[in-house]
Amino acid sequence: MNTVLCLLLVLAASFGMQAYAQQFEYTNTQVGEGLIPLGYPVPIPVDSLTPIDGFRTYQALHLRHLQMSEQSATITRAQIGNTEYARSIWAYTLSDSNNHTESGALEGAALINGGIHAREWQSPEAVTGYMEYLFDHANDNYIAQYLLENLNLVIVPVLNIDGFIQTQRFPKQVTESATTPRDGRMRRKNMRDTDESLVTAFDNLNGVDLNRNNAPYWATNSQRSSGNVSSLVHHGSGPASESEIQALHQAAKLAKEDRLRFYTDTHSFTQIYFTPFTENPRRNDIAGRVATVMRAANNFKYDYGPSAAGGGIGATDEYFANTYQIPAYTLEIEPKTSGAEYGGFGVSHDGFILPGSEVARMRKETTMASLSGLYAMTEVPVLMSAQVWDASGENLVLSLRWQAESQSRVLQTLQSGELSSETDYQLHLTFNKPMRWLENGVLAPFPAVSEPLDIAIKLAGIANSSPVEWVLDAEDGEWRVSDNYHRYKTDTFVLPMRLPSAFNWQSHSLLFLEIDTHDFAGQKLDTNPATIPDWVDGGWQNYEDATGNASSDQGGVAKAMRFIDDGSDMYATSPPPSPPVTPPLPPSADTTGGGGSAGVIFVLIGLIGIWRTAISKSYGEDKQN
Amino acid sequence: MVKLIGCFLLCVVATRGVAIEISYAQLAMLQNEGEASLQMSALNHEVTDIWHQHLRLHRLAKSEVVSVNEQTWVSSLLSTEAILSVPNPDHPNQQLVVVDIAKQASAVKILWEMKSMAEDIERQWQYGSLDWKNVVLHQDKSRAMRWWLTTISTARAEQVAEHAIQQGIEYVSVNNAMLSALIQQSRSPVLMQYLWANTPDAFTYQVLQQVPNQLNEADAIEQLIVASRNQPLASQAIMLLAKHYSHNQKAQMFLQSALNDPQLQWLTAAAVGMLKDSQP
Repeated sequence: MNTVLCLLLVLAASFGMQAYAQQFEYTNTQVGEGLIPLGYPVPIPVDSLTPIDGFRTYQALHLRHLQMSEQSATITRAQIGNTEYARSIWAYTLSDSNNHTESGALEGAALINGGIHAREWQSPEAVTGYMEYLFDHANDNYIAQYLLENLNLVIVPVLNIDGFIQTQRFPKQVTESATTPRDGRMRRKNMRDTDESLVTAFDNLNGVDLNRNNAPYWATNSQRSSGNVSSLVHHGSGPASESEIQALHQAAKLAKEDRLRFYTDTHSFTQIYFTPFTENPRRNDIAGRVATVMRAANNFKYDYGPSAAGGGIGATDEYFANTYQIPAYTLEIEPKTSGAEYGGFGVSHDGFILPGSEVARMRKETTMASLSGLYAMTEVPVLMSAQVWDASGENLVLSLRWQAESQSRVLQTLQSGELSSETDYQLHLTFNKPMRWLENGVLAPFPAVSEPLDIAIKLAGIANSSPVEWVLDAEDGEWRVSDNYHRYKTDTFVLPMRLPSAFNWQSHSLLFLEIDTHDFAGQKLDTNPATIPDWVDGGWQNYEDATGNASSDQGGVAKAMRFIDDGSDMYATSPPPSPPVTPPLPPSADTTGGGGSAGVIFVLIGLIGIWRTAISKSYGEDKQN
Repeated sequence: MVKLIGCFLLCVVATRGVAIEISYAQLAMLQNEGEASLQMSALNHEVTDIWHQHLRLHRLAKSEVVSVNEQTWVSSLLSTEAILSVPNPDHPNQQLVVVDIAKQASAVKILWEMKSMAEDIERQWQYGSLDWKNVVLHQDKSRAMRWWLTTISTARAEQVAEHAIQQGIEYVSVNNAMLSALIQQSRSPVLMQYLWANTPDAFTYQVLQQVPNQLNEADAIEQLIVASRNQPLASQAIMLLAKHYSHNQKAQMFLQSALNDPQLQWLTAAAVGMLKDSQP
């Protein structure tokens, strides 16, 4: 390759074609011929393995990746290909050694790509930030540990290594013009047919835009993709003609293609999640929902931009969305419009040059957002166990747990006893994942998606041949954060429970828990844990909703945890999905039924409001199962 | 009357400006053609007007002397919405702004003000009345001082640094931006010690990265070793030592001792041991 370039140089020189490129230099505030003042210090890459307020050199980033993989049992590396300049391209798998989730499902896989466009320095820092977070918090009993134990995450920190190094070789210099700067710090493409000098002008614009080099829409959009080798968006000679894109495909294989359920290509700037739609409405809907989750992590400072199915520009997110039918995104990191957002002058293209002082914050924000998206796609929430303890917390009265057996789960009774009226108990509900958002270790809202409590709990069933319902006051309970959780912080909800005198265990032919909640990504519970959910053909399989529909991707109110089981069909007479969480109903004086309207309920509330205890009872046709 | 109203409307439009999307080919035409030939080009006159404003602002940013008319003209552009954008190559319905007249006018004003303040600083320096407290605590003056430092000789910068140490260290020593600017021009080892002792920020990392280029080998090694004692700087200092001075006996001895220091062990091992595996 280098030999060919040398020959070209010699030929060009001998024919008098040698042209020298005009160079421009970014400055803070210095003005003058060929200078482009940004209004803030121009970051130069720094040789630090540890994260800093600034950008790291490729060498430092690479050493950091190596160091993390050497020191962690959950991070392994694999070479997935070579660049045009024969540099090794690495992918890192972040996962435990087994292929199963803690709840017995097959692990899904996710792929995150960084550094496809050389000048977008935010990208390698952001994805390295994801790795560093998972490395530092591997035993946090929270999201990092949950992801490592239940997902197979593959990260390619820098795909376009040649181009990235070229931009770092010239951290302040560009060619062409101040308005449309190219090469040097503003190189976007790979280094095909390009030398590393800015002085020789004939090849400065060469290279292939790796985000135009992909099926299925390769070379189909002449406005944003070009066959001209000097174009900023040159698409190359064919789909996946470039070794870097071939390496990305290898990364998908490393993640296991049939397990893939999430892809993000990390860019900057414009502060938005782009996602291509496909012909699969379920996939599109889920992609939108997961985008909402990622945006919520930073209070919606990022925008959302879906594009219509049936067309594209040859981008990698189109390839992954259409090939694997998975949510696939192009994440454009901040700023939204320009460096003026940080006090800079807002000159053309300065959005690609994030001030060093913003990097640590950006890294943290993108990490929280991406981990939240991964959290949503790792598993849907499942109520895994229910236990009733006596008031002392020392004696287990009832215990049910879903145990995985091959491709399904079986509800096992680990302790069977009876509940008595007027007796204090503790109800422990355990889920398969962390269920609530924590900020600095404290329960917090996940903006516009979930609140710290957000759970409604009932005991329901059939007593003396009539439907009964015992509403428990969830306000008295708490998501466990510091102790008494099962495996992950907030995977367990503990609620004091006391049944009224009218409760009679023996009179019940059916008694089950009715749990209405969701994970912090807003996903409702899988209503039938016996069938294990999985991602198949662009949607969740076996993620049953309130009616038992396994392909609605909605989930619902869980009723499968039966303390007394009459063998009846769980979905036979299911009522419509419950409304959002409401305050617990007080006990009803009407034991004959007929309270079929909200008005009646309010009358009952007024009549017996003084009965506001943790546990209440009511009868009514509107509550029938 | 009609003419007057028309003129008024035109002036309003000119002041408010418009956002116009142009093609890359049109942008290339603007960039390649001289100003005179632009008047004759087939481009929309609003486009060429914005481009002319852009070029004039570019010239004014570099001007040493500015007339009142020019100042008035620049001020009149601060609220204009005149923008030239090209299609964002990444996305069908997005644009990439290449010329934003209001932002450019604002930058020109900031640069003028900064230069004016720098002239004051120059006078104060010449008259021996430079007040570091006043400079450091005033954000715009601080920026002007940092700019002024880039315009003076190394010898003068060394004098200014010495003055800062003698007269204003109380204020300068806690301001990483000012320390960085002084160090970059004067290479003062005394000020470096202050910088390495502070809580690091973006300025600190940038200065530390330049140490091997700015100091001789012995001084650089000395400074890097001092910097490595500040934990957030340790990795960078050690990596720079390993990268640039692994042949030097003093650096080798330090790296060896760092390998036995639990705080620095893995950083040093990664920098020294894995350096040969990396592919710059």
